Amino acid sequence: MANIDGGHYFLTTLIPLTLEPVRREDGSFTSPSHLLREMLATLPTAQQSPACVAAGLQSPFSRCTRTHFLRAVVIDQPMYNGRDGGNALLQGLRKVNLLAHEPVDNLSRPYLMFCADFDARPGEPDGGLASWATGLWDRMATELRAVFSPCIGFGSVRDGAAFAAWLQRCQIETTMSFNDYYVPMPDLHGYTARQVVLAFAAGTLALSALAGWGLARSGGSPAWMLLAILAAALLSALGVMAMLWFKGRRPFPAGANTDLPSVLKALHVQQRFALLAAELQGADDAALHARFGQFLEQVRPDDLAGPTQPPGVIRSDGIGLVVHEAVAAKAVAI
Amino acid sequence: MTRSTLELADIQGNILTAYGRLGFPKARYLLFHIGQAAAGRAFVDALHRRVTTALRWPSSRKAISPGKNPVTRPAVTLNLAFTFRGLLALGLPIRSLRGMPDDFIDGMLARASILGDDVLDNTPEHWDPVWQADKPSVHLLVTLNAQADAEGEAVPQLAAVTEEILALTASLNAAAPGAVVLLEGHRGPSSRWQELSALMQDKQPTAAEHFGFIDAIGDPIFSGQYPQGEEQGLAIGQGAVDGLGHWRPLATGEFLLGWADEAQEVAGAAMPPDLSRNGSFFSYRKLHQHVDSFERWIGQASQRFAAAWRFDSLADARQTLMAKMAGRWADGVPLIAAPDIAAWKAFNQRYAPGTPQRARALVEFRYEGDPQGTRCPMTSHLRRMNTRDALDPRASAEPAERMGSALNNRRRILRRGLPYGSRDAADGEHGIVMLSHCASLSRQFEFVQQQWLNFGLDFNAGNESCPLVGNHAEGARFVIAADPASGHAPFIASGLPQFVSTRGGDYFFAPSMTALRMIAMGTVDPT
Repeated sequence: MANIDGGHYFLTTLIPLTLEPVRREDGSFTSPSHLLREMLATLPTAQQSPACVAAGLQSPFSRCTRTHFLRAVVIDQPMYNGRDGGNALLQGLRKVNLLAHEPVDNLSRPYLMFCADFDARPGEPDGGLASWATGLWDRMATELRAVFSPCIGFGSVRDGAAFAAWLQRCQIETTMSFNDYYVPMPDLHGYTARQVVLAFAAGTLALSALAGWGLARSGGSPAWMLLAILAAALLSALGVMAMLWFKGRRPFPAGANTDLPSVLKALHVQQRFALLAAELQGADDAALHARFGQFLEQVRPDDLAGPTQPPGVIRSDGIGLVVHEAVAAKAVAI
Repeated sequence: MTRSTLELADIQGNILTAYGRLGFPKARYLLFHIGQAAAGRAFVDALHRRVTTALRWPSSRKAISPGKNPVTRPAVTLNLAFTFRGLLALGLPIRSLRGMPDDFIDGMLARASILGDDVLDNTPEHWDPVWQADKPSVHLLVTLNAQADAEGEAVPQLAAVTEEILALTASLNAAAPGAVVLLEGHRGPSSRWQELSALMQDKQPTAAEHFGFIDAIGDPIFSGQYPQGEEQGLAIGQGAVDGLGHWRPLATGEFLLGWADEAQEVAGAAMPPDLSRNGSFFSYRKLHQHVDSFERWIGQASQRFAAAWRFDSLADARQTLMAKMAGRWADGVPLIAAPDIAAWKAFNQRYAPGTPQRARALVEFRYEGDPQGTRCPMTSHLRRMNTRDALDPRASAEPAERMGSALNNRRRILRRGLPYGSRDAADGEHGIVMLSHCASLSRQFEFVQQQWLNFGLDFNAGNESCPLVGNHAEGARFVIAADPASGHAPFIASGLPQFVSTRGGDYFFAPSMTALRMIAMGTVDPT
């Protein structure tokens, strides 16, 4: 797997944070990682409940119609799992001093893991990363400045192109992605164990024959021949492994209608059609025909630019969201 | 799987047996607040010897011999359970208490957003006052189940046992005022306790509930619950099933603490082991049934359904609609066995009431032959509460390779409790008190409530909730899939109002007899 899979770009970045304490506007001091966490915690969420709607705020990421998911996590240190285990008897025989501390891995500074799943653009040289990052900058530069200000190197970012370049410098390869919309599954063909063995045998045989022909011409001894066969087997095994490796790295083809505008449109059509189906139960053919024609006109299922579900809301069928009330728990006093 | 040998005299009887269905159709639930730990322990000490255990009463019909020391069938059963705050009030060591699961420590109010108790008329301002947040905490629950007399009333011993308990609290309170307080504020005939009764017909108890369904037909069967000969038979249709259709009892640890569970482990629990072992958690939920709205909506929807599917009569449409919502016909016949009116009648002719063949046919079925829900809708109550083999991730594999009910085996609950009130009550005070026993409230009870009853994703039904007991916010709908061969279109029932709403409850721990004795003596020692 790679950064691009199934038509989606799976971005993973690890962004180092500065260590210099930050002075806020009110004069208080804090650490860059705390400032970053505070910024992330106060970013508005999508409008997923009446309370969010009433607050009048919307997730800034909803301004971008390429972003499916995005996740930001501050990584302070790698987890320490304790001393490496081992066989107590062997350690005793080897006189391992269990009181001498093993080294503990540390990061030199906190990192921000910033990951996103967005629509790739196969026509662009980098698969769409730069255009996505630039687009994000155009739509939410203020929020991006607030979030990334404690990050190393962000201070010199002045525009979308610089933001894209900076993000790319922090990028690491995504080795495992999760694509939620991949339906239907493509018809995938891996190699069977039989094919792998046959490829190995054929490779070994061909290389050995080549070596045998060469040795026969130069009058090599049987010992050299044996060595040549072993080398051929080794080369063939490496070749088969390379074959599997490259096959495994090949991304899935883009799925049908899995870009964000199509997904949003599908959600909208599905919700509207469910209401239509309920409404038209028992209707006669003429009414059915007329009403369905009206539906096509109103909902325009093929028109991505037409009526659709805007990003950042959870339904678009006109039905109100259920109100969740704050339920007070029992007082702590028993 | 190794069969568990349970020490029945150590286990409270209401865990293994649904008393309400089995000869004790009248019940009274009393709630107490413990103001002084020592008096509370004295209260538990006085009551715990009266607790009805899971020991079997001699029965000639079931070939249970009296043995050397036969127990007699009581007129009134008595069982005890505690909330987390109750255990704290009784002075259990913090080290034991911190081993309790967080769902139980939270209690039901704090889990409102998980349980759907923060929406519609489920919210606590609608609850019986005794359960509300500003009232003294519920600490101890005493459940009394009584036999009925010839008039269909509770035997007089129910009042006598109640008086005895109240006299006990009076004497404790005389020594230390407020030591053990009976909490009042139940709605219904008495505000001092929750009165419950099976619905009676001709002075005889029935298994019906207020909407008119026969309830509580299937209930999990677990290893050790019944004598060996009986258990395997009962596990058919009610235990765990593999891809080949072989049934077995569920692992004991799904319902009793301290035993191996379906993950093949003994889950960690509050220490010492004796405190947890043979105990069980349960949720107490008082659920109001909106009988009027149900009748009204069913009446309207039946007319639309009758027109859409061209039923012979409105009555047939009504029966079918109710069956599609529940997953069973009103008399309990499963839709999988009898998907339409004709098949229902044929089933009832084939299996006479009261026969063991009928009892088995009511529960022995799988969903493998109905992947689209054209017989039993994917979102019907039955298919949500107990998904059987319906969520088998390897459903399309060879039968021997399938996983059967593997994903369901960790989500089962033992359903106890009884209805309350009368269907015709002018004050609208009618519903059921549902007690759901399990080893983990969050993994079993809460999961079923949140993911399967109030959500539909596992059934490919988006956010649709259970048509009977789920929350019905604006836009609620229930889809009845149709077999294309029938010539009918799927029927979409829209605008479901709320049929069942929460009116109170909490999370309880039903300890073993050993644990009750330790709690009473104040000798719970986690070290």
